[in-house]
Amino acid sequence: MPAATPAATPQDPPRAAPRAALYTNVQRFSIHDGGGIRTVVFLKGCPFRCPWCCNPENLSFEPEVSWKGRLCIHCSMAEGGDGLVDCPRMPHECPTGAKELMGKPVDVDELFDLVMRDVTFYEESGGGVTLSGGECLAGPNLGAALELLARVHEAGVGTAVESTLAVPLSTDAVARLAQVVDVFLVDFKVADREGSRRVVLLDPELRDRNLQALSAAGVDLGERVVARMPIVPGYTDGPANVRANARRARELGIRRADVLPFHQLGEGKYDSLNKDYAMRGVRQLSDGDVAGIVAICQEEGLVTVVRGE
Amino acid sequence: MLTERTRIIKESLFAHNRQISLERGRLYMESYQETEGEPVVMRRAKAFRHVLESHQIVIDDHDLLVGNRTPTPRAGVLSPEMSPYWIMDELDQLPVRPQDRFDVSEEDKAYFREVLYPYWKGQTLNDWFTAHLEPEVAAAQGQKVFAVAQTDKGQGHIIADFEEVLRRGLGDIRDEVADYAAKTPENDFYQAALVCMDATIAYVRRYEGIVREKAADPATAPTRAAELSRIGDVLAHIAIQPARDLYDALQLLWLVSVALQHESNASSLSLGRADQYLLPYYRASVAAGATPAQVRELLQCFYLKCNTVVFVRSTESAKFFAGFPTGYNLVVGGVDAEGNDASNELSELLLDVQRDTRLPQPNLSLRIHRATPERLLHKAAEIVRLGDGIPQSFNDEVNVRAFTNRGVSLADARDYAVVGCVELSIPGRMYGLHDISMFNMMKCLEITMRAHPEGFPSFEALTDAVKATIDHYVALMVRGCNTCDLAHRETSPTPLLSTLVHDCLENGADITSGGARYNPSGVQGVGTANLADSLEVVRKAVLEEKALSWADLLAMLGRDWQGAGDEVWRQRFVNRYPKYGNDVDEVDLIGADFLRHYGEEVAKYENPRGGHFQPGSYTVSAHIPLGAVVGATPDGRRAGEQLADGGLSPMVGRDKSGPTADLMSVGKLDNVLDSNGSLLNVKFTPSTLAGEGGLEKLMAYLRAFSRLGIQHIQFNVVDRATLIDAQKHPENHRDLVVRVAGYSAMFVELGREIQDDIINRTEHVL
Repeated sequence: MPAATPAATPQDPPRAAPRAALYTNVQRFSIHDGGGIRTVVFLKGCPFRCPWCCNPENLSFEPEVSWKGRLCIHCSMAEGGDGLVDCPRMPHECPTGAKELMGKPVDVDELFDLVMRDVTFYEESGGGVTLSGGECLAGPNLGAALELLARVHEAGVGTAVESTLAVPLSTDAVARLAQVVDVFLVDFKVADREGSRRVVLLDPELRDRNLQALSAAGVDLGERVVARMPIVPGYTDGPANVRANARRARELGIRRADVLPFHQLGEGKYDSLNKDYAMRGVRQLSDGDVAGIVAICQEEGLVTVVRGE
Repeated sequence: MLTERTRIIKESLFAHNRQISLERGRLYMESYQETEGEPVVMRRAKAFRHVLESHQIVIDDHDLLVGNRTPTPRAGVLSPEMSPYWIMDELDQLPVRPQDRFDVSEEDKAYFREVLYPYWKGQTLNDWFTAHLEPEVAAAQGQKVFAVAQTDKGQGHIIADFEEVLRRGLGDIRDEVADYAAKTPENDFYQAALVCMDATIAYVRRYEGIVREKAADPATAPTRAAELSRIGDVLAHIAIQPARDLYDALQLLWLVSVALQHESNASSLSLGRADQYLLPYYRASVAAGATPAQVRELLQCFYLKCNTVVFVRSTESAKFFAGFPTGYNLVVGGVDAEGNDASNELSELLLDVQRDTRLPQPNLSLRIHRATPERLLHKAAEIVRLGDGIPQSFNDEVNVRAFTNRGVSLADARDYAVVGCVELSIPGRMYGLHDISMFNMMKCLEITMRAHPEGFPSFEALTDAVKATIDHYVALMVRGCNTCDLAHRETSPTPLLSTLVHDCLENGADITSGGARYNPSGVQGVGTANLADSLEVVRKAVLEEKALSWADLLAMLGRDWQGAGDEVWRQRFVNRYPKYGNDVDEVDLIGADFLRHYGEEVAKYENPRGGHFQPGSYTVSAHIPLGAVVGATPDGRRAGEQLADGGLSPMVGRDKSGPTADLMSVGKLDNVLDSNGSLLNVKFTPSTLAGEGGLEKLMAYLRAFSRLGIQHIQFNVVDRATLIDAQKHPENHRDLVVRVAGYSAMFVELGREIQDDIINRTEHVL
């Protein structure tokens, strides 16, 4: 086996250069993230803490090691051991991929080449490239995000971001986003400002100001913004919350909404990162469960799609 | 939806266990006993005539079409004149073997053992083949590097010129044959062809007589009597005359198809471009006032008829072609002779009828090109989403070029269709021996590695050695194929089929003697994905990283990863090195290099009919038996484990980058070389294709497939959970149709290994 890099131990993950954006995954053939067949790049790190987050590997801005027990063949530790604690192997030495380093530094040239591989599919489907996260527009990620989006946009490929937009954006950043992003998939979660700040640490007013700034920079919010509403039992599924979100979106000039029923696809990731998960065991929602919520959005005048186009 | 009539017919197909029928075997023997000393082609014609004159005709109480291969639907017809040996060996196994079971009565077993076997022993196709097969070739075949096919059954894999049959009628073709026969009385082929044409016309009239008799029977209900009278009128007309409308056309098409089955008893006597040649008759019916419901019911009857014929194979052959791929391949769409879109209203309708019948046959194939109308593509996507694996799609943008590259005229190339599973052929003009052998490239890797315990100084030295092994065995395979080719010429000409394939009449020669216009032999290179994955591991782990020695690797493979610590290496080989199918150039291009090498190598060889060998890349279900004979390989495969399915598909479970990366990888292969056809499996979960958005994405995926220059693609759209439940509770899933490889089959009729393989093929889900 190749020699280990001394700095890279599970207890002390390698630090990227300061402020360097990290990414965890490039997912090809994504079909619910902005229209058509898309490639989604997941940037790592998020200032918010939604209890239902399905991408916990993208919460921290730092590299992390994850360990999937079901893949482990216990080549270097006893059965029953915890790979994050007991296994001496580096992620790159793990034969099965059970242990993985989450968070590779973004190399825009490399990512651009990768996301452009499916250009034939984007052309035929009206798809493109979507940046997600984490919060892809959070400070440490913003520069890399803008650079990659600009490259893709210049190449004539459609771009989208999945973002809270509840992050500080300079006038310059807003102007550049307006120029290089075709579709903004913007979260509408907890409508009440205080509730939102308390539960998920997110200020919806900041989001709305950024939307207005984008509008001022020439973005037609009716055409280029989709309100994304995760419907999470006990957090966002109350009719009053949905209606408030829908009204707010309409007031801002947004015409389309994606209703995203709560799912448990992220549960295993919490285990692999040894992180607590508040939503463990909570039942997933079906399309039928969100019919009433769709109806509310439609009453408020939003063109509504379950799970996104 | 099925009508009451067609629902009853569909149920009757599966009402009884499949039987073995010895009727044809008995009739064939009776005729052969009377024709000792006559030319083989005439003996075959007379035996064919005897079958048509004497086999039991069954008139169903509901069907609008007549024509039965066997007394009960889906019975297995044994051909002891091709080979009685495997039958003798396996007679007791047929009802209990793992794949493709048939019941055999004790009476029939005794008749076979005491009468048929002793008569045919020593004078069959298989005897000729075995006697002439060179020992060196037989030895190589014993090593399982290749497996020459059709050594115990009809050649099949061909499309008769149905367009001409419908347009000219049997009488006109018969008269042309009679002219040739009169002008050239010494040509046995013409004399035999005349016997066959007369026998076929008499066969139609025989049906007419039986139908009219039944119509006149007072026991027949008046409504059914009226239907039978109508069928009688159709039969009276088409015995000699061209088809006038869709009813005539479908009845004539089916009876000629049944006659061809009686003659060859072969897999894949396929139907060709039905949306083209049926169109004038369809339009005539519509113009004459046929309602859409009437047209649809007639097409349903035809589709159900295609499911009444199954093909019984030896146990070994059934491993390679599991689940009765009878091969009524029916093509819609594509371009016309000038390169313009040829699709029409019938193209969509023929796809749509699958929605009603939901059975494996006919094996619908869609030809896609850059101007395929959105409507047709949308219809195809809807039908694919049903989950039956139908239709499969073929790409004109590469397949037409594949043929012109082999010397086929541009107009003929644009008229290509599909035989059997995915084999590309020119309808009515090509006898292509499309399924004459499979070639196991992974066995060549294994042989090469074991022959070189000293290792290789460089990657090029390794790949050169593997290529040399491939070349060595290709030469042997070609000799085996040509022996089989000649065996069919010497023992098993097919004069009726030849009459319906150009240019046999002009040339005065049966297809088996080189009478057809185009005469290739198709041999499939299997194992591209595993070969690429294995060589990539060797290149990186042994040659570049020097993480382990060649000797250590050989030792590990030799003990099938059973040594201490071997599993760690195996996991590392599986998980830590790039795999074909993930759009990683360095490994994909190894696959491309070897597929090209194989293709160029086989194309150097000629066959006895004046044609050339051409490569294909499909496995049908052969990736399981071909994997069973290969030991552990550096890609982390265990000894005996299956090879990658399909032919072009990535190894099961190794494509982790999604279905777009799959296509990008396959698109890097030199697909235009595979003029015999190739196969790519892709599986989607139903939820991925949900809604109109799902259909649009599938259509986009198909258009991208066309642009990327890939020959073929097929989809399984079934939940893993459904398949697993069907394994546990087959009684609840008797109607579940799944894609195997170039064809669909009833899931519960497949053996466990193939079922597991279908379950494990990567399911792309989001």
